[in-house]
Amino acid sequence: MFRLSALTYVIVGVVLMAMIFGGFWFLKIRREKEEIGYYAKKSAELDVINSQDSQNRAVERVRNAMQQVRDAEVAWKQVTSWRTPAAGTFNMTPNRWQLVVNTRRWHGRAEADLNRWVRRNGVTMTSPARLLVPYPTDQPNDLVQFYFNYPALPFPVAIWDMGTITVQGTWDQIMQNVRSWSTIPGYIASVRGLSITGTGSRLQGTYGLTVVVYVNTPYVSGGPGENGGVPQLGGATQGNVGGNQQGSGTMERGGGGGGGGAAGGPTPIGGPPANEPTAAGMGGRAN
Amino acid sequence: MAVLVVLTLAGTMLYASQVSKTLAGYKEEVAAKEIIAKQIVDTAASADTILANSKIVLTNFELVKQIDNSNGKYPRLYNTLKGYIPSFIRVRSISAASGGPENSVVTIQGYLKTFQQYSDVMIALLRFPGCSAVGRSGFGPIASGDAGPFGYDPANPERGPIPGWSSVTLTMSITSGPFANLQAPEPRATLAGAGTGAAPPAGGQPAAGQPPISATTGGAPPSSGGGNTLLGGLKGR
Repeated sequence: MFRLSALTYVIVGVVLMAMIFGGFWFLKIRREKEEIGYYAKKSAELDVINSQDSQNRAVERVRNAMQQVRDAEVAWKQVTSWRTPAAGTFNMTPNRWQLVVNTRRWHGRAEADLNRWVRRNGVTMTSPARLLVPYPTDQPNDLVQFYFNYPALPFPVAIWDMGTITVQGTWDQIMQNVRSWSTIPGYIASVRGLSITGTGSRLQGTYGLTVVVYVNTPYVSGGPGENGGVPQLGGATQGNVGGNQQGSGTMERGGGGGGGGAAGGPTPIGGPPANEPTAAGMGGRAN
Repeated sequence: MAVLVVLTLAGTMLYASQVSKTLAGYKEEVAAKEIIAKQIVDTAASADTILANSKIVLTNFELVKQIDNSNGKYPRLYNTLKGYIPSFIRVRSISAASGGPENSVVTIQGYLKTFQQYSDVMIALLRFPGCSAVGRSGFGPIASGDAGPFGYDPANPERGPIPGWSSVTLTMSITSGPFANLQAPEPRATLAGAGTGAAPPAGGQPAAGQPPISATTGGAPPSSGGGNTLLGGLKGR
């Protein structure tokens, strides 16, 4: 009969023990230990997130954000109170045809306001002879869409580049004149690129001026949607790149020029500009 | 030997089960912590939501603030610069241009008398805060047709520039400090950016009593009234 030696039993036993442990190690224990390492690391990371300090910072962050918004809203309320057209001066709630008329009237007042303000602090304006606010178009839909940038911007706002202005006065008068644009009521004015020329007390200051006019209105007639436009012939919004409207919501002044307001020689409401009776323009409204 | 093998098997199985228990414990612990962590992360993230929902009013306010700040930049620059210009130079014009958020260039055109002054004025202007370089040009006889210093009126041909003076142009590069940035905000682009935030509902007029933008932001509205316009402000005049 075949008989194994003791050494064989020992060797087979050791091999069996090694196989048992190895099998468990490679098939189960090692994988789970790796997972334990991963979870331990994640647990440590979560401990950092869940720490009291982290919770406090999260709450503080929210508190700061709310405070920031509150501060901005309070400050913005002051801005809208003093630096947008005064209540009753201008609103955009009537129908858009009426809005064209209202805008012309308001335009005249705005132009007068700016011309008064530019001569503050004892300076005289040498160039241009008179500030001209871009003249609003008589096309009601274009007026809202381009002149007031609505609904491209979430609220109606007119942005006028007034060009380069030259004023004459002393050093202090010119500096005060530039600074004073930050306090003009009803408007927000941005001055850029001041240069000073001259000697003695006869100095000339030249700067660029942009005026931003937030229109404080409960809503805009017709709203921002496509259906908000009124039906109109001629002066189609999208194709209106010829003539003098340029898709900018402005047009050349008629007749009186510079006078602004309804008396400034408005083009008949609803009709196409006199020099723009194109076939495309007569084809009906695009908006 | 057989006993040893059986013991090894039993020991290994015991060890494996302990490892499994430890793993299960970690999983439970992590799952529990994740719930709390998510709450904290959500809380922190809600700050971003609050700010995003109020983007319009924040942008408007920031734009006005920046405009007001930029309106004073040039007067502040020139008033400060005046103190650094030596008395021996007769300034004819000062202009400044922005070269970006951290660079502005000031150009001074004026008149001085001697070559020593031409040198000294460079040292004087280099003392200006943030001025990193000064350039100069033009020293020499005043060209015909130049008005010259002391308020000479070119419309009066009977009087010419004072002899011996030189018309010079000095250029200062300002790259740091409060006068390096002369940029003014661009309103249209800024406001267009605000349009990507919360906006009034599209289409038609808002229903009666609709809250203004500022009251829909998630942040507490101002205590003194929410406002009644698209701008979220209440008219005080």
